[in-house]
Amino acid sequence: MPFDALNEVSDEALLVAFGNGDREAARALTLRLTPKVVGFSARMLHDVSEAEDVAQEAMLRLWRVAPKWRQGEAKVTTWLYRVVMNLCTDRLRRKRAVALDAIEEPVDETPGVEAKMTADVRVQALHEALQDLPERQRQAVILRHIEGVSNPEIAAVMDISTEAVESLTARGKRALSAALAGRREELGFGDD
Amino acid sequence: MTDQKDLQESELDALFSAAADATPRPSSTLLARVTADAEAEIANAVVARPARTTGMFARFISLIGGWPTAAGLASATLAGIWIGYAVPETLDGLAGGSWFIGSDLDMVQFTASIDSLLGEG
Repeated sequence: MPFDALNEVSDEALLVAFGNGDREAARALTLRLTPKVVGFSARMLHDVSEAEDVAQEAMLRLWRVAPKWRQGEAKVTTWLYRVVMNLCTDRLRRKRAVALDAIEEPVDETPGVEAKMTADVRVQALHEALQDLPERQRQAVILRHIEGVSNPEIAAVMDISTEAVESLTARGKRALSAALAGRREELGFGDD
Repeated sequence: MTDQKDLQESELDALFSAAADATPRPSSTLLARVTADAEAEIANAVVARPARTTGMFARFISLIGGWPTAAGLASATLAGIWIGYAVPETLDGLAGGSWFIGSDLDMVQFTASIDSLLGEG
C-alpha cells in the first residue's frame, strides 16, 4: 500500500498490519505516534533527552504487543499514554530517590528573538509550576490542556472516572493560577 | 498574595497554548532508533514462525520417509483402485471370452469312470 494512503488508516489497523510484518505500517505509526509520546514524556520529565529514552521504550513495548493486540479493546493512544505515564512515574521516583538537587534545569538555547521571548518565558514558567503539582494532577492537566486528550480518554489512561479527571484538572489549574500569580508581569499579563 | 492576583482562566489558557506550540519534536536519531526496533521485531517474528509450522501431517510425511515415499504410496493406491474396477473385463478379454462361458468344460471328466475301474479287474 502506498505510504500516503496510510494517513487515513486508523492506529489500530496499522498496528494489526505491523503485527503481520508490514514495514510501511511501522513507519506510519512511528511518524504518527512518536511525537505524541515525546511531547507528553518531555512535559512529565522536563528533560528532552530522558523523554526520548522513554519514547523509545514505549514504542518498543507497542511493537511487542502488536501481534497480540485485540481489536476494539482499547485505543492505541490510550494504551501508549498509559505506558508513558508509568515509565515517567518510575523515572521520577528514581530521581527523587537519588538526589532532588541533582536535577538540572534545562538550558533554553533558543536564540533570543524579542518576539519569542514572552512565549518562551511562559512555557518555562508553566513547566516549572507543573513540576510542583502532585503527580496525578500534573498528568491530568498535561493530557487535557496541552496534549488535548479528551476527559474520557484520560479517564481510561489513568484508570479513574471522568468526574475524577475533571476534579484533578480543576484542582491542578487552581494550583497553577496561584503558583504563577507572583509572575504576572514577567508573563506579560500586567499587574491588575 | 490575593485572589485578584491569581491568573485568570484565559491567562492560563494562553500559557497552555504557548506550551502546546512549543511541543518538542522527536529527533531524527530517535525516529531511526524506533524504526530499527520495529524492523528487529519483524525479523524476530519471521525467524520464530518456521518452528511453529510442523503439524501432524508434516510429521506423518516425515515418518514414512518423505515426499518420494508419499508419492509412491499414492500411485500404488490409485493403481489398486483402477485395477479393482477394470480387471473382470480385462481378464475376460485376455481369455478369449469363451473359456468358461458356454464351453465344454462341463463335459470334461477329471476322474476315472466306474466302468474302467471294473474292467481292470
